Amino acid sequence: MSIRVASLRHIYHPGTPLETKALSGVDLTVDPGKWVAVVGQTGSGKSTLAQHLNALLLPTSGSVEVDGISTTAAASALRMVRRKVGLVFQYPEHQLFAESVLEEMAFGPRNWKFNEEDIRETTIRTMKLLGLPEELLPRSPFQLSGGQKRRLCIASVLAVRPDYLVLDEPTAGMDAPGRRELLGLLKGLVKERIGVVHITHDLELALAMAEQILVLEKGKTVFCGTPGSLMDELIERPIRGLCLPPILELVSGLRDYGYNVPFTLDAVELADRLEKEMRT
Amino acid sequence: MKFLNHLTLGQYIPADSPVHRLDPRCKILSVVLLLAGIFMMKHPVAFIAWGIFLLFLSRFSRIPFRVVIQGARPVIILVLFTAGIHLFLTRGITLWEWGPLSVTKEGVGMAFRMGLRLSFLVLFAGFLTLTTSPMELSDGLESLFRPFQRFGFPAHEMAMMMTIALRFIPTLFDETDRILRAQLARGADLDHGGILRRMKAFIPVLVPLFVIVFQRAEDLAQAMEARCYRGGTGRSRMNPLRWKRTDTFAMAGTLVIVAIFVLMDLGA
Amino acid sequence: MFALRGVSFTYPGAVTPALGGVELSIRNGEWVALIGANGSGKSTLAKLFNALLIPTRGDCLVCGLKTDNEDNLWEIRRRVSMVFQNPDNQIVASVVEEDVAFGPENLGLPSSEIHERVFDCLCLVGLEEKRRAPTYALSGGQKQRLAIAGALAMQPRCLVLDEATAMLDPQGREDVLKILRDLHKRGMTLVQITHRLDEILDATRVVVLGKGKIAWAGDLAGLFAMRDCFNEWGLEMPPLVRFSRKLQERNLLPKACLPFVKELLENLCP
Ligand SMILES: Nc1ncnc2c1ncn2[C@@H]1O[C@H](COP(=O)(O)OP(=O)(O)OP(=O)(O)O)[C@@H](O)[C@H]1O
Ligand SMILES: Nc1ncnc2c1ncn2[C@@H]1O[C@H](COP(=O)(O)OP(=O)(O)OP(=O)(O)O)[C@@H](O)[C@H]1O
Ligand SMILES: [Mg+2]
Ligand SMILES: [Mg+2]
Repeated sequence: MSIRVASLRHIYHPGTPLETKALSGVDLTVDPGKWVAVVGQTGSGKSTLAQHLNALLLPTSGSVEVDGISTTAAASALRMVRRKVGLVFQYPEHQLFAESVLEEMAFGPRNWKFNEEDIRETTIRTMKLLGLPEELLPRSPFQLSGGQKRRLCIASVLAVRPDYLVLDEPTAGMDAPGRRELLGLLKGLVKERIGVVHITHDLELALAMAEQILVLEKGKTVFCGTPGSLMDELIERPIRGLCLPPILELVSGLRDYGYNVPFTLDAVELADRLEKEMRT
Repeated sequence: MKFLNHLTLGQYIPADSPVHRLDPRCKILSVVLLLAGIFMMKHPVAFIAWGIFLLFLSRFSRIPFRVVIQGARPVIILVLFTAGIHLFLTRGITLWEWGPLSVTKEGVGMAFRMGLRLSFLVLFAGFLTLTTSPMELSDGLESLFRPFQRFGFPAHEMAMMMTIALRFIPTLFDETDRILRAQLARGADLDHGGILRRMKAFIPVLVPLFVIVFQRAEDLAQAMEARCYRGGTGRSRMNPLRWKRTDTFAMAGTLVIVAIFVLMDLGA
Repeated sequence: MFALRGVSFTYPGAVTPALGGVELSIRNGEWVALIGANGSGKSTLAKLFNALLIPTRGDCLVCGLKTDNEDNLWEIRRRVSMVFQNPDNQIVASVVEEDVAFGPENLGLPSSEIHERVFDCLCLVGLEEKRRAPTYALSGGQKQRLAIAGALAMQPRCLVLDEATAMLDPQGREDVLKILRDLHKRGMTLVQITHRLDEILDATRVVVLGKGKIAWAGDLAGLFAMRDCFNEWGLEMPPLVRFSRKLQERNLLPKACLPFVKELLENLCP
C-alpha cells in the first residue's frame, strides 16, 4: 500500500511551439505515515508531479500507481485515486466559494456521496485536527483570517479522509508562528497514518520535517533519500538551485577547520557539541 | 488535460517579420478591408484564392500555419453551429429527410459557404492579434478613433481597456484552469448529470473566479496608479506610431488584392 | 524621505483601524526592513508611502510633500516606486519591453529616453535578452524581476518592496537581493517587507509592526536581542543567532554575532 511513481515523464503541449518537458524520468515511493518533501527550483516540475499523484495529469510515459491502482486505468479507477489522494494547491484560499465554513467543508464529502450525518461528524473532527474551533461553522469562509483560511482549505481536503495528502507550498506567505503551528498540526496527520507529500522551496524546512526528500531539477530527479544523506551530498557538491542552509554552511566551515561537529539543524545541539570540542 | 492554453487564444507571438513591423493602423485598416472582401466571397474559386492568400500571409509573417489554426479553435463551435443552421433551414431541392429535418442541395452549399466564410474571417482577424502586441494595437485604435474624441468618444480609455483585457486573457484562463483542477481534486464532478446539475456544479468554479477577477482588477489598478498612470493626457510612447512607405504599399496591396478577389468572384 | 506623524488608517467599512498612530521617519539612502506578523499592517503602511492610500488621520510626508494633496500625487509616485507580491498583477503589457516602458510613458518622456531607460533597467535585472518575449512566457522569478525593472524605470529615489520575493525559490530570492544591494550602493532608499529574517541582513534599520503600531525600531543587533517578543511579533530567531547567543553565554564568543556565517567562522576559527 503506497504511491509508486516510476520513470514518470510529462510533456505539456506536445508537438506545438509551446512544448515543455516538465518531467523526464521521476521515481518516487510514498508510504502511509511518511512525510516526503519535494524541493527544487521554480519550474523544476514539482507542481506537475503533484498533479500526477491524484490523476489530475496523466503521464506521457511511465506510471503512477496509488495503492495498486494505476492512474491510466479506467475512469472509475481515476476517481478512486482522487478520493485516496488529497491535493492542496498553492494559495488554496483562492478556491473558497461557499457561504459558510460548514458548506465549504462539506463540498468534498458530498462529492464523494458521504451521508449527511457522517459529513457533520467528519467536518468537526477534521476542523479540530487543524485547530479550527467549531464556532466558525456558520461563518463565511471569506471572513476568516489568512491563516484560518489556509487551514480551512487543508481541512476541507482532509474531510474526505484521504490516505495521502499532497501539499503545494502550504506555508507560503505565512509568518513564522503561523508556519510553525500549521506544520505542527500537519505532523499530527502523519501519526494518523496519512502519507504526506510536502512541496516547498525551503530546504531547511524540508530537512527538518521530512523522512525522505526528492530534489528535482528541470524535471529530473537529482537526489532522492533521507535528509541526512542529502546534507552529506550537499556538502560534497552543490546542487543547482539549492542553497545550503546557513547553519549547515557554518558546520561545514567548522569541520574544515578541524572541529568534529555533526551536521545538524539544531542550533543548541551544535553549540553544545562545539563547546565540548573547544574545551578539549 | 490542460483545458485551455495560450495558443488557442490567438495571443501575440513576437517575431521579426515584415508583417510584425507594419504600423498597427495599417494592419487594422487592412484587416477591415479583408473582412469586407471575405463577406462578399461566394464562388469556390474565390475560396481557393483566399486560402492561398492565407497561407502566403502565414509564411510572410513567420507564424506557423498550425498556430494560426489553433487560434481559431475556440470559435469552431460557432462556425459549426452557423453552418448547421444553414444546412437545415435553407429551402430548395431536398436531398435527405428525417422527420421535420430536411437537408437541401442549397442548404449544403450555404452551410459550406457560411462555414468557410466565418472561418476565414476568424483566421484573417487572428493575424492582427498574432502579429501586433496589444499595446501597439491599442495605440493604433486610439489613433484611428481620435477624430471621434471631439464628440466625447473615450478613445484612449477604450484602447487601454482593450490592452489590459488582452493582457489578462491568458492569466484568467490559467486561473480558471487552476480553480477547475483544484475543485476536481476535491471531487467535483463537472461532466455528469442534467443541465441544471451541471450548472450548479460550476458554482465552485465561478465564485472563486469572480473573487479573483475583482481582486486582480483592484491590484492592477493600484499597480498602474503607482506607476503614475492617470489616463491618456500627458502620456508619451516608447515607439510613437509612424506611417512608413511600406505601410502605404501594404495598404495599397491589400486594396488591390481584395479588389481582384471580389471582381473575380463577380465575374466567375 | 518619509515622515509619518500620528498616522492612522482605517479601511472603508472596517471597524478596527489597520494602522493606529504611526510615527516614523525614513532618511534618504536608508535600507529599512519592515517586518511583523500577518495582518500587522505592513502592506497598508507601504501603500501610504506612495499615496495609494491616504491616512485617515495624521500626516504622511514624502520628500516634504503631503500625500493628501491631489496635486502632489504625481510628484510622489515618480519618487517612490512599488513592487508588489504577485508580479502577475502588476505587469500591464504583453511584451517585456513594453511593460517596462509603461511607467516612463506615463511620465511623458521622449521616445529616445524611454528606450534608454528600458534598456538600462532590463540590463540591471538581467532580462535584456528577453526584451521582446511575451510576458506570459516568463517564469515566476523572471516576472518578479520584470516588475522590479518596471518600477526602476521611473528612476525613483525610493523603492518599496512588499513581499517581492515570496513566490521565488532561494536562487531567485538571492538574485533579487543582489539587485537590492546594488541599488542601495547607488544611494537608493529601500523599504523591504518580508517574513524571512534571512533576507533583511543588509538592512540598515529594522521596523517591527504589531497590530497596526510600531512595536519596535532599531538595528539588526538590537532586533536579535529582543528575543522575548519574537513570537508576539510573528518572527522566528534564525538558528545562527540562537547558536551564537548560546556560545556567548558560555564565553566562547566575544559578542553575540549577527547571523553571518563568515563573521562567526572568523571568530570561532581564528
Ligand atoms: N499548464 C502548463 N502548460 C504548459 N507548460 C506548463 C504548464 N504548467 C507548467 N508548465 C511548465 O512545466 C514546467 C514545470 O512547471 P511546474 O509548475 O511543475 O514547476 P514547479 O516546480 O511547480 O515550479 P514553482 O516552484 O514555480 O511552482 C515549467 O517549465 C512550466 O513552465
Ligand atoms: N482591502 C482591505 N479592506 C479591509 N481591510 C483590510 C484590507 N486590506 C487589509 N485589511 C486589514 O487590515 C489589516 C492590516 O492588513 P495588511 O494587509 O496591511 O497586513 P500585512 O502586515 O501586510 O499582513 P501580511 O503579512 O499577511 O501581508 C488586517 O487586519 C487586514 O485584515
Ligand atoms: Mg509549483
Ligand atoms: Mg501584506
